[in-house]
Amino acid sequence: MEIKKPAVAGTLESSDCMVTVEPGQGQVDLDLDSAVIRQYGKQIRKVIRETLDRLDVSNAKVTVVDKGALDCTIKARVECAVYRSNDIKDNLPWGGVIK
Amino acid sequence: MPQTVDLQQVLEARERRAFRQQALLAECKTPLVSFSMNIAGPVKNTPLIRRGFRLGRRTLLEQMQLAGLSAVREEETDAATGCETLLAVRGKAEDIKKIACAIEENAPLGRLYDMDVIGTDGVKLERTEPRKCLICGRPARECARSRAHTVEELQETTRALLETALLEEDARTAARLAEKALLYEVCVTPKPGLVDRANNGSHRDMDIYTFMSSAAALFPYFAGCVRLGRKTADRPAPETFAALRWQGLQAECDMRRATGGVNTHKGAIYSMGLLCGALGRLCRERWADPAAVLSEIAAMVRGAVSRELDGVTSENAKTAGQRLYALYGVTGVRGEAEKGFPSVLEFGLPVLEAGLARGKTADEAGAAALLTLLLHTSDTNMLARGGTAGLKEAEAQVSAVLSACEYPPAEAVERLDQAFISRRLSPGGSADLLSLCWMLHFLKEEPA
Repeated sequence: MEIKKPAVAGTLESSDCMVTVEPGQGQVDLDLDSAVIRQYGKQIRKVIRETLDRLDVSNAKVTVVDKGALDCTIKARVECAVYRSNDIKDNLPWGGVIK
Repeated sequence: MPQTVDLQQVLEARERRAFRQQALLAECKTPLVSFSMNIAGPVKNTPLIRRGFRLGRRTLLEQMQLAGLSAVREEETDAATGCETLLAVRGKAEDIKKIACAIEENAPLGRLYDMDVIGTDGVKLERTEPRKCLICGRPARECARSRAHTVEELQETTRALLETALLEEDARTAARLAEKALLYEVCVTPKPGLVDRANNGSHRDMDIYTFMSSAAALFPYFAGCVRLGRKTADRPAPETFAALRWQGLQAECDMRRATGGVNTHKGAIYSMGLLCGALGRLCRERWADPAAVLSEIAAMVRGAVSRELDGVTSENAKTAGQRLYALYGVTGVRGEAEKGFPSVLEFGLPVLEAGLARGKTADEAGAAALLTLLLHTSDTNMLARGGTAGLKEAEAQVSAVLSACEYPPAEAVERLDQAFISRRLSPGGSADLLSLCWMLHFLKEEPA
């Protein structure tokens, strides 16, 4: 999937994360800021990379600010941000909430 | 069954919340407090959780008011994903954050509260100390990330925390109102034959201060009755009554110790104790329904009259109530309780409340309710002191006063007072019922 335009998903509440995707410069650049980066930084990066791979995203700038989200939450937020950058809002429960 | 929500619904609710925050911020241009409950698992909203939320919201508003911070707007949400409120507050974000953190750290349910403060720049203020895990006290975000505790364990701890804190809140509320009811009863002036603010009526061994001492001594008893009622709420109602018996005897000891051996509130210990036990059995939402409270009492007391008065003769009677039953066949406060205090529901309370609604003072409405109750019950204190003849004559006088005026002027009640005093009559049984009327009235006025 191509990242056509910047898109955001998630919040900065505790147990959540905010994911921003923007068009890349030929590869995936991942910028991670996490409240638990020392213990879980590696694991969080892995979840983000795997989710992007599954969506076939190979060219993007991805910024994640994590406030202690679980893997399932991180995965859902990354997916949502990618879909939004492609204007896919149908069949997403949060579609249209964030403009 | 409570509604469950999935991850997507939770994530959607958080985004909606963030969106509403930004919208309110743009509109009000003040700092915001975003308050929601921190509840693990798929069930985010139950009556118990909602009550915990209401308590937190009240604490937040009251603590802010105390600090001179006023909410200019509020947007509440009550959905399957949880209860939330969003407040726009006039004041400095740092000051608001201090209050929010103090509540999260110190309130009985603070660990379940998420009170986020957002500055006018849209940025959430960070805590200085990380939040602690509900179960083990370690940093919460580490336990959450590592799934150190099962959802079941978290749910069980949350439920226990909510039940304990809300029972404490209920017990204190009920005891405070019960005590207030006793104090209002004794303060209604003038009252015929009873201790009031003007005189000691037909009594020589007690005055209004004796009643103050006694009422204060009974506060823990009333709270204890609520706890026992809640503890036995799943059992048949008579088991609550049986469980209250020991507490009642102890309360009588407390009363006698506080008054130097004088019986000020023995009847109130029985009837108000029953009422508090009934409140413990009922959910908080039903406290404002007098008929529900009184029928719960009736269910608790069912069969007590025959158990306690069958076979009682004037020879083996031990208490004043038993002697009067043997002599006159009156069942006194036990009989009243077993029927669910119909004189309170049908006469005393309506007269009291109609009077207050019409702008009568507590003295006027209270005295009218007392006189009405006196006519609709067989007051065993009156019988004990005046016999049938004394009771009948007093009832005729009261009846004459009430038919002249529904809410008799003080002078008319003072004349009754003198008549009662001259014959040493005292309607103590009716006074206990008046306390119940005040209590039921206060329960209706108390926000749930």
